[in-house]
Amino acid sequence: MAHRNQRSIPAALIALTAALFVLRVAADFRQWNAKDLVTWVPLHLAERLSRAHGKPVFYDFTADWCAPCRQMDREIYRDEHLAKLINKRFIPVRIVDRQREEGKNLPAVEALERKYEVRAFPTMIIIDPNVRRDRRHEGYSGKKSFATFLGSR
Amino acid sequence: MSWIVISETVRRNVGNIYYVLIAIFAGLMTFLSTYGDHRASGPGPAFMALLLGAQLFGPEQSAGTLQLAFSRPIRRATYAVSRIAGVSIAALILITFCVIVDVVTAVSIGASIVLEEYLLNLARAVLGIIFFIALLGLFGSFTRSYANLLLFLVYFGAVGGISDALSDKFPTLSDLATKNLFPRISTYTPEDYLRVVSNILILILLTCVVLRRRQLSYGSD
Repeated sequence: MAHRNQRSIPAALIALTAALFVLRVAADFRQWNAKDLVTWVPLHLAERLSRAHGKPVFYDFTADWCAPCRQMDREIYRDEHLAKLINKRFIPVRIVDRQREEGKNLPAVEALERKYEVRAFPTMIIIDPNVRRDRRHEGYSGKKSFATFLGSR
Repeated sequence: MSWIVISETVRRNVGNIYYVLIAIFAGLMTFLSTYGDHRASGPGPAFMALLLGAQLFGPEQSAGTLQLAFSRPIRRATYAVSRIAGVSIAALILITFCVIVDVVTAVSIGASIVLEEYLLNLARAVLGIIFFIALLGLFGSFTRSYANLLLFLVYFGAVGGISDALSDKFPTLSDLATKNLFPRISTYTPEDYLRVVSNILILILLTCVVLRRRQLSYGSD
């Protein structure tokens, strides 16, 4: 009896581990099913809409294989507040690079990546016709720094 | 939990000359990075955890003292959890020292400290270290002296390599692997905190399961 007790695992540890595991799976599942709240505009309409509404264009250069891009999708584009801010203040355009998967990109995507010297993903570029300098941010380092980038002049 | 095992583990770690050397090195690195405005919190969590977690069970088994500990009226699981807790506390003492160095240096050079960001960075570092210690504990529960370190390095190499290989053809699987098998230090959502804590508990539970079933031969190597 003493030998068996010595090898037993505390029930509390098993219960706590199981409970946290269930919570974590539920949180993952909820995140998985969440949708982007940003209303992405087709590339060919971006500049026209920007001129018509007087809003800067927000380019999000991304790729399916890019893990920080997917983290950004979860944390930024599915965040109600930030997505609303992007929709309200910008013309958001998503450019998905397909170089790795298909060997080449669409000509329009290739041209845009060359024009803005996109070398890494994610790269966000804000083109404001009223301001001489475009804003650019490479990589993703959290909500706060992204929010600062959106708000900076 | 056994407070005797915890306190003895902390005493053995903190009283070790190598621990003192690590503390001096970590403090110096923290000072230099804060002074140079990089605001890193000293050596990476993996490095600290490796140094502290390397001798969780393996060296004791090789020396024959683990068998002695298990001949006492203490549950193996209690012993395992207490050892991991003791090493984690030793790591927290080291981190606290680095934080003090960082804050004092930042205040003395007039650098700003954003409290919320600082505390979040600290929480991430602490969770990352405990995750690595728990992983080393699991590997140490079925290996001999310091072999857990080798397994640890193989683990990270393997998981990183597999994740990279999958990222092109199976990005979702790659993302799942990275998210669930690494503690992901860079940025954390609330779900990431939950995931890391859950992983730590799973590792501790697995360690208890391994030790529960393990037959220990008597004598040292």
